[in-house]
Amino acid sequence: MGFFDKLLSLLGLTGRKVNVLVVGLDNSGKTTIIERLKPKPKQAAEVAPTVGFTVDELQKGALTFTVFDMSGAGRYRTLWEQYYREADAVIFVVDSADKLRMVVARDEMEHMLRHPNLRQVPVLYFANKKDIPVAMPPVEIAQALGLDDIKDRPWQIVPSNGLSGEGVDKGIDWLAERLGK
Amino acid sequence: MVDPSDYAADGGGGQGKGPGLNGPLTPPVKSVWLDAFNDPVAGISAYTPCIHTCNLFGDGENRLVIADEDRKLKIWKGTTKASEHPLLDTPVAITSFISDNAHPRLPALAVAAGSHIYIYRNLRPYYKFVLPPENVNTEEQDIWQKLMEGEVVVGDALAQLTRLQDAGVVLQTRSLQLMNIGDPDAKMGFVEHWQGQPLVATTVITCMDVIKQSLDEPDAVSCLVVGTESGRVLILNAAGTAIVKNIWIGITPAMIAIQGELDVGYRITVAGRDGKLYHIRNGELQQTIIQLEAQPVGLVRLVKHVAVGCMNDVIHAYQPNGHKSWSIYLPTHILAMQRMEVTGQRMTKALVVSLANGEVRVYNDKLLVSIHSVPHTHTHTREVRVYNDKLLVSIHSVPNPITALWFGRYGREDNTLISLTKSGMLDIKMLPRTANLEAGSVGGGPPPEQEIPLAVPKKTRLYVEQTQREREQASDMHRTFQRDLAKLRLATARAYVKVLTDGQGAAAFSTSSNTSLSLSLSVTGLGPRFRLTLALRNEGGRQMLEVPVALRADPGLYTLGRTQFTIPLLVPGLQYSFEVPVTMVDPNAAPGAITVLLLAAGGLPSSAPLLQATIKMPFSEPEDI
Repeated sequence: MGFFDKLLSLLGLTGRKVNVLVVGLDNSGKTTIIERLKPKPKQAAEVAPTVGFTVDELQKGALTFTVFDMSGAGRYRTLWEQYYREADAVIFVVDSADKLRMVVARDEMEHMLRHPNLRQVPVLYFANKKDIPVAMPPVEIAQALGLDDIKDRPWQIVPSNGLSGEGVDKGIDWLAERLGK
Repeated sequence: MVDPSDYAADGGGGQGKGPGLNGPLTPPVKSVWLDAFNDPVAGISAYTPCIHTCNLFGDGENRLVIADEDRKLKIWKGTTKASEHPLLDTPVAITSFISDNAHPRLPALAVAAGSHIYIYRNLRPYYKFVLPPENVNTEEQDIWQKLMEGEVVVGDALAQLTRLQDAGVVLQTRSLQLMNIGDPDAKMGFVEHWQGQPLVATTVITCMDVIKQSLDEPDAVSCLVVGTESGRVLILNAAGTAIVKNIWIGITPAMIAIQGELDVGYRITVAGRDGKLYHIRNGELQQTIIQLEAQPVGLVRLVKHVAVGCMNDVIHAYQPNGHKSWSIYLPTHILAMQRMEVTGQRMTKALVVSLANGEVRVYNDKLLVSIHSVPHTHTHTREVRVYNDKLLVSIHSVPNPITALWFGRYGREDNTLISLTKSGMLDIKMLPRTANLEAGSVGGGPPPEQEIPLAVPKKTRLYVEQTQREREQASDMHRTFQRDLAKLRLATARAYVKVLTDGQGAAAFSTSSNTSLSLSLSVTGLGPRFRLTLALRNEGGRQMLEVPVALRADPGLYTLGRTQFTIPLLVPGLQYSFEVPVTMVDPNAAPGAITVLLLAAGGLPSSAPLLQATIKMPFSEPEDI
């Protein structure tokens, strides 16, 4: 694989940079999911609540992801819209076990999709924390968030577990496929 | 005095033009809330003082704690009930406080019941604070002392107690119980039961709140404040083990509202059972006492004001010095009131009120910014959906009044409204980040047109010069104006006189645009037979055809040869003469007058005469025989 990557980069096929905006409510697992995307040795075991935002660069196939990990805390959510213009894709992380705040997640999501600066970019939903017993299945989350009403852009919902990394790659593969076109 | 029913009929907010219940004319005020969770069969029965959220286990996720009337402490986490703990007595109020600066901050939960405050930590009983006994009237104490030692019989003791009561002494429960026992043996048994125990006055807690010790921060050290049945307000130390301030009010506090910090300066507003508001400032009872129109049902502190809801459906906001700032007139009874301290970018302090018709309203100052109601327990799911149309609900379903309100951080969401209904429903709503609670967002407040500036033209040179002149020559201008006004009045008076006298003389003329005529009357003869001569001249430029002439006189005085005739043609410039014989009926009578009217030419619709002339007849000679 490493040899192949080198070959691709020599041919100039790799290195296309895409900006990915990672948003979601606080404590939904955004930073943890991004940690799982990093190569094993670089992964941090413990993550602290993000303040403001952090930027990471990740290599995925022929694409280089520039990941904007936004803070989900209420007072930082106004920052999100500053990055809508550059975003080529959005990852929206939902805490599957936080049934109570599903309505808040929906409100924030609707605000984001309505924002004029956000282009018709693909949106990947991670139904995170699927390992928790009371977690809602992705179908219920899609219903609670009203995802069926999104007709103007590609979207996908993937159940994930940020701690084990389960489902994360599946979602990113979908995103890479979308962006590779 | 305004009739309160006017306000009720109006049904609106403080402006008197807020939205009505179902008023079709006023724009409906919508709900600002997101519906997070609703459990219609939560089976909770509690009022506003018995509902609280706090970071119970120090894990950053706030739990909902409800001290239920069925003597159970119910803990909710997220959308499920986490646990239930039995209480020893029916709870009066619960709250939480931070007792020390240790990390992590773990709030202590305080449940007030009877004369005790049960303090929990980590949800385990930790300490029980007992209210100190009150002073007992010494005479009453003596009576009991003697009664138990057998120095007086029960009958005498009772008589003495009754005398004390008649003198205005508030007796202890034990004395009252003794007086109410009918059976003499039971009386003896009752005295026997209390044998050896000195008479003490216990009191109970009526309300409880917390005050910050020295810093106004969410997790700063705080102290409990309780109101007691005996008419006191007690401030406890941060640990909740001793009283640091004991303030005597003299009337039982029903509700308290606290502002400020204990070490810096504070103000406690007390709504007493007697329908008055008392103020405590830094431990001193103030002289300012506000007499309310009706009994208070809710007391909430806002930024600068204390809002008190009364039984006559009005909320008044008072400043600390006792001045009333504003009032909100509500369409129906107030059931619960709660402070809504919005954290985040806005830091708004609003007021949430639940009404008897099931509505929950949010007022920012006195502006209505949101109305919603919770669905009824037994409504079908479909009806609930209709219900999202908020205002229609009150028509369709029986209102489900909310009895308890709490606003604060729940779970991980800062701005959460928790409401309990009479039917035991638990309803959780959240305030979206972008909710607009400002003035003029929805309904109420000044109309948006007020913000649009008027198109005032620029000050031109002419305007400036004119203004200058007006300033310098004001007295001249005034004098000129007064003179012109006097002239105008004179001209008006003259015209009026002319109107009154026209047609009263023997000669008349008219000079209107299309007809210009002159007429003069003369009388010849000595009487009783006269001859009236009409001299008529057309002064205009056009001939007139078919001009009717009418003559009027008192038929009892004069007989006219003809009372009306028509002039076939009036050529301009020529003098016409017509003669009419007049005979006086009674030559000895006083003479009268004859009026000649020239009417509008044939075919013209005008009913007003063209010309009118009146001649006074002379005295008549007696008729010769």
